[in-house]
Amino acid sequence: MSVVSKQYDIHEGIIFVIELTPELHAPASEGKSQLQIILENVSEVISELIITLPGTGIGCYLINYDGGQNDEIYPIFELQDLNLEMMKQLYQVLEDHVSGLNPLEKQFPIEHSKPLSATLFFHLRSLFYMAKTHKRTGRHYNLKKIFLFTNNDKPYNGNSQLRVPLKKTLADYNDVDITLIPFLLNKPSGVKFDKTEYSEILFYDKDACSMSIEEIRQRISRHKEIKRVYFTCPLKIANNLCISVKGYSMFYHETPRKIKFVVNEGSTFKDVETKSQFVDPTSGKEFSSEQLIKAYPLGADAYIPLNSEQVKTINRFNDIINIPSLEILGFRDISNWLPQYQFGKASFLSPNNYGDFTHSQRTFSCLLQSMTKKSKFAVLFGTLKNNAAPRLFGMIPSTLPQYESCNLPQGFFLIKLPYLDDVRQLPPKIAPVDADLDVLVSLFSNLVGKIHIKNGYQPQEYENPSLQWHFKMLRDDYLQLEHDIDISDPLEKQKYINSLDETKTKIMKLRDYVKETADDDDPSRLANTLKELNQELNKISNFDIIANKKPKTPTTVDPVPTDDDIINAWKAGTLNGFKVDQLRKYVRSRNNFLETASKKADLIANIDKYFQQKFKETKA
Amino acid sequence: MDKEWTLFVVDESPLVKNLDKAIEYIKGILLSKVVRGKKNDQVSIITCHDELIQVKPKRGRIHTSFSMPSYQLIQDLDSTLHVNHEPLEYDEKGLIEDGSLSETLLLAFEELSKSNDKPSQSATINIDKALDLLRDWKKGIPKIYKPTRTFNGELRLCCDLDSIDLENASFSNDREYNRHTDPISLVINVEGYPLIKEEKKPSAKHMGYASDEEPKSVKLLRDRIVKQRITPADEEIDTKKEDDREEKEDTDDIEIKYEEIPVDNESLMKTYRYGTSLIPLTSTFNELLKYPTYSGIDIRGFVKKDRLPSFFFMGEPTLLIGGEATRDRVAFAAMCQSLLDVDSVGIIRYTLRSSSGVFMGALIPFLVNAHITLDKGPDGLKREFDETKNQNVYGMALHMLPFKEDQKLPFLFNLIGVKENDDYLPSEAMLDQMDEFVDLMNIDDPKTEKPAIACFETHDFDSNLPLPLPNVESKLDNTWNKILHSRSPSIHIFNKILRDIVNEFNIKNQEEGESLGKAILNDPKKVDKVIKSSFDQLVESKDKLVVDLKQIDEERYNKISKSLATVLDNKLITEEAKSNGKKRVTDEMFVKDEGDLEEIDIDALLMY
Repeated sequence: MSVVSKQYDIHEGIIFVIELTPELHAPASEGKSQLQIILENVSEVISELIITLPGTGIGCYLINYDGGQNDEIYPIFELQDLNLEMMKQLYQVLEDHVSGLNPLEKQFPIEHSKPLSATLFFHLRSLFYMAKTHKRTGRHYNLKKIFLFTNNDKPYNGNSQLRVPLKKTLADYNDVDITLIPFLLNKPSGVKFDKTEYSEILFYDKDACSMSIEEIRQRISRHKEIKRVYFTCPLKIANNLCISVKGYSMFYHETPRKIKFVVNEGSTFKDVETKSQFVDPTSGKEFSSEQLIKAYPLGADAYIPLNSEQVKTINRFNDIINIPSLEILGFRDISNWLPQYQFGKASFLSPNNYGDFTHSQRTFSCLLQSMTKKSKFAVLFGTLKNNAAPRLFGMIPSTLPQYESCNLPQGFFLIKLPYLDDVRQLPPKIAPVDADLDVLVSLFSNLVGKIHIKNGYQPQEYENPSLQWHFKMLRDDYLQLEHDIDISDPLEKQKYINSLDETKTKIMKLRDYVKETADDDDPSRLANTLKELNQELNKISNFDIIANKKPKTPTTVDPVPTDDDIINAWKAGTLNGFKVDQLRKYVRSRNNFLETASKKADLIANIDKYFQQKFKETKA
Repeated sequence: MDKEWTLFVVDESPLVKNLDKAIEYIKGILLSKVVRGKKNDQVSIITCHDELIQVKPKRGRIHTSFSMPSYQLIQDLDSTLHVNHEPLEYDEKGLIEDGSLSETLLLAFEELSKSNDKPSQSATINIDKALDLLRDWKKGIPKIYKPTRTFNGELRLCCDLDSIDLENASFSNDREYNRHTDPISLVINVEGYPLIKEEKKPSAKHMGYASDEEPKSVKLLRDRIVKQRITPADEEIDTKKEDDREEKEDTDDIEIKYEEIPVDNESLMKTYRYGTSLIPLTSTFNELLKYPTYSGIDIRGFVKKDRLPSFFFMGEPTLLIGGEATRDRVAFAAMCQSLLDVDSVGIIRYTLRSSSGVFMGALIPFLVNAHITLDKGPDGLKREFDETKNQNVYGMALHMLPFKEDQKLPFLFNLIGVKENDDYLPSEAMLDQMDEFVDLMNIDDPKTEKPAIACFETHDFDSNLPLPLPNVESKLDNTWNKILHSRSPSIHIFNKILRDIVNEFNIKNQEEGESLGKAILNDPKKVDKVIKSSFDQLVESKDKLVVDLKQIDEERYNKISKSLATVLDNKLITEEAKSNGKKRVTDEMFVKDEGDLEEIDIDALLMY
C-alpha cells in the first residue's frame, strides 16, 4: 500500500450506550420517551452514515437491562460495519413500540438502578476489539467513539471506592484512542442534570452537560463526523510570521454510489474488477508498462513525449515560492466580496497544533478575531499540496456576525478565485434591454421584500430528495415494505414523490400563501402584485406580437409527434414513418420513461418495448 | 468567439529588414496555438514579392491557404519564407510596381472573406515588442471556448410545481393547471451558459514505444474479470494465523497469487451497496430507483446578500440571461435590478436538464460588461467593426448550494477570547498589534469610490494574438482587475516550457525521417536542460509569480511585520523537538485531492 493511500485508511467505530433509568422510559417530548427519541436519533444517524460514510461501524448497547442475563451490557445490535440487518433490527424495535405491539418499557425493562462500575467501561472498551469486522478486509476500528446517554447524575453515588477505579478506567481510554462523548440529559420532569459526580471522573466539553433531549441531534451530528483533512500547510501572515494550518473539506456533494458489478457464486457475490490494457490498434499486440510513454499533442501531426520526472520538474512550483503554503496578500472589506468571482467548494481552515510552528492556534485566533472585528476578508496566494497548481484565494471568517445563525465551527473558509483562463466567454446572443424598467422594478421589489426567508439558507433544512429516494427505495426493498400506491405507474410515482420531496413542499407552501391572499383587494398583497406584474409583462408580449407581424419564413423543421401520434403509429406499426429527428425529440421529451438511442431502429425498439410493457400492465 | 482566423502578410522584398524575426514571431504564434490545442483556429500566409510569382502584374501569393495550424507548417516556414533579392521594378512615378503591397493586401482581404466574419481587431506593434510579449507567460492568451448553452427553460415564481411535474410525468396533455395563464404566478424564460470553469493544463496521452521504432498511438481495452486465489493450502494459512503468531509471520512471506478469470456479460450482476450489504438490481427495480426530474428553476424565496455565506457555494457557476423574447428579457432585467436595489439574492430549487437530479442554488444578480455589436443599419448593410460598444447587460450567477447530506461540520476548537500568557488564545496586546497590521495591509482602493453595482468583466479582448490589450474602461475596482487579469502559472508556464523544448530541438534541423517526438525521446538530457534553464529563470523572478496587490511600501511592511512577529512569537519547531513531542491522537481522515495529485478512488476506499 502506498504512503498516500494509507492516509485514507480510517475505520470509524461508534458505540451508542444508553443507561436505562425509569425516567428514560417516561414521556419527555411530544409524548415520546427519552429512550424512543435516542433510538430514533440512532436510526437517523445510521441513515445519514449509509450515505456519507458507509464503511462506519455502529453498535447500540443498553446498560441496566433486566434481560435475565448476567452481562452488564445488552446489545440491541452488536458493533459491526453498517448494514441492512442492523437497520432492520432497529426498525423492528421502534415499529413494535409505535404500533403498541411491544412498547419499549416492555422490550427493555430496567433491572435496578445501580452505580456504574469500572468493569462495565472495561467491557465497553473491549467491544471495539471483539467486533465482527468486515469479512474481506478484516480491518479493525482505528477511530473509536462511545456516545454515552444517561440522565443518571450519580454514576458512583458518592462512593469513593467506586469513583477511583472508574476515573482510572476512563482515563485509560485516552491511551487506546477511545473518545467518550457523554450526553448528560436533563430529566423529563425538568430537573437539571447535576454534573458534580461526572466532572470528577471525566473531562468533557461544556456543551455536554445539562442538555435537553432536543439538543442531542446536533451534538451527535457534530461528533459522528470525521474531520476530513484536505491539506496541511503553513500560512504566511507577514514576513517572519508563519503558522501551521489544516484545511478541512466541509462541503461535498453526495450522490448515489456507483453500480457495483458482481458475479453470483451461490451464497456469496464475487466482486468484478476492470482490467485495462493498452494495445497496438493495428496488430492488437499489448504494450507492457515499460513500453508506454506519455506525450503532449502538438497539433494533429506531432507530439512532445515527457517522462514523469520531467513533468514533475515543470510542476515544481514549491521551488519558487516555498510551497505548499499560503501567503496573505492583503485585506478587504467584506462588502467588496463579489460572489460571482468564485468557484469550487470552499475548504475550512483551522489551526494545526501539530505543525511546524509554535503557537499556531493563538496567532490564528488573533487573526480571526481581528478580521471579524473589522469585517474583512483576505486575499491569498499559494498552493495547498505538492504539485498542485498555485492559485489565488479569498479567505472569509466564519465568525462574522451575519453568519451567526449558521452555527458554524470557528475558523476561515478558503475560496478559489478564478484566473483569466477560467472565465468563460459571454454568449453571442446577449443583448441590453432598451425599455423603461421603473414600474416593473418597483413591483419586483415589492415581491422580493415579501418573499423573504427569515433564517436565510440553512443546509440542514434541505434534504436531497433524489438521494433520499434512492436510499429509501433500497431500504424498503430489503425490509420488504409495501407501498400503499403502485409506484411502477409513473403518475402514481410522481404523486408519491411530490408528497416526499420537502424542497417541493417548501415551494408549494409559498404558492399556498399567495393563493390565500388572492381574493383580498389590498393592492400590496402578494397575489395582487403578481397579477399587476403579469399585466405589465403581457403588454410587452402584445407589443412584440404587433411588432413582429412580418411573415415568417416557412420552417423546415418537422413537428415533434404528440403522444397520440406515437400511440396510433405504434398500434398501426408505422413508427418507421417518422423521421429520426422526430423520434429522437419525442424520446427526449419523455426521457423519464424511454431510453434514447442513436439509430432509428433502436429508437423504435425502445418505444415499442415501453408500449408493449404498458399494454401488458393495462391488460393485467 | 471560439474560431479565430489569422492571416499573416509577409513582405519578402529586399527592402525588408528583420524577416527572420517576423518568421520567429509567426512560428511562435503558430506554436502557441498548437500547444494550447486550438483545433478550430485557421491560419493563412500571403507573401509579397515572392520569387515564385511569375505572372504579371504580380499581386502576391497565397503561401498557405486557410487551414488548421500544424507542426508541419511551422517546420516548413524557414525553408519557404526568405528574402527575394530580385530587384524591385518601379513605374515612371517611382512607385514600386512589382508585387506591390496594396495588391497583396487586396488578395489578403479576398482570402479573409472566407471567414464569413468581419475583422475584430487591428493593431500595430514593433516586432521586438511583439516577440517579448510572446515570451512572457504572464501575457499568455487563455484558451477560448465557444459558449455552449447548458439551460434553456423557465424561471418560475409561485407556480404550482406539483401540477407541473404531474403533467410532465403523464402522457396526457389535459392540463388542469396552466402556468402561462395563472395570474398569481410568474414564468420567465431564461438561458444558461457556463460562467467560470477551471481550466487545466494540457493533458498527456499514452503512446506505445518500443526502442528504435516511432512511438505509436495506442488503444485502451477494458475487460471485466474476477480474481481467483490460486495459492495452495489457503485454509492452512488461515488456521496458522489464529494458532501461532510466529508461524503467521512466516506465512506472510508466502506470495498470494490470483488467477484472473474473464467474466462474460451474461454472468454480470448489477448491485447497489447499502453499507456493507449488496442489493441486486433488476430492471424493474432500477426503474423504481429512478427519480424523475424535469428542467426548470423555481424560486424558493429571497435573502439579503450578506446573510448568505459565499462559502456555501459549490461547483462552477452558470450565467443566466433572459430568454430571446422581449418580455423575458425585460422581466429578467427588472427582477435583477430589483434584487440589486435591495441587495438580495434568490434561493432556488433547480434542475438544469431533465433526469439530472434536483439541486438547491442561489441566484446572484449582477451586470455583465459585454462587448456588443450594434444592430444593422436601416439599409441592411453590415456596419464596420468599430461600431461595437461595451454595454451593461443583466445577468445572474447561479451557484449550487449544499443539501443537508453535503454539509459535514465536525467538532472543532473554540477560537474566540482573550487571555494573558496563554498558549491558545491571544492577549490584548497581540490583538491590538494584529488590528494595526490588518489596517495597514488594506488593499481596498481608497481613491475610487465603490461602484454602485459591480460589473462582471469577461474576456475584454477577443484576439488570440499577443497584441496589446484594448484599453477597456473597467467597472471593477483596481484590486479585482489585477486579480482577474492574472494568468494561471501552471498552464502558461507549462505551455511556455513545451514551446521552449520544441524551439530547442530546432524545428528546421531535424534529421531526415525522424519525428520531433523521436528526437526528444532520443535526447532526454537536452529536454532536462531546457526545463532546468526555463525554471531557473522563474526562480530568479519568483516575486513575479504572485499578483502584487500591496499598497504599502516594503520598508513599512517589513517594520510592521517585524513587530507583529515579535509579539506573537511563532517559531519554527525543530525536527528534534517534534520527535520529543506528545503522542498524537487524531480522528482525521485525508480526503481525495482535487488538484493534480495522484488519483485515488475515495469511494472505493470508503466502501472497501
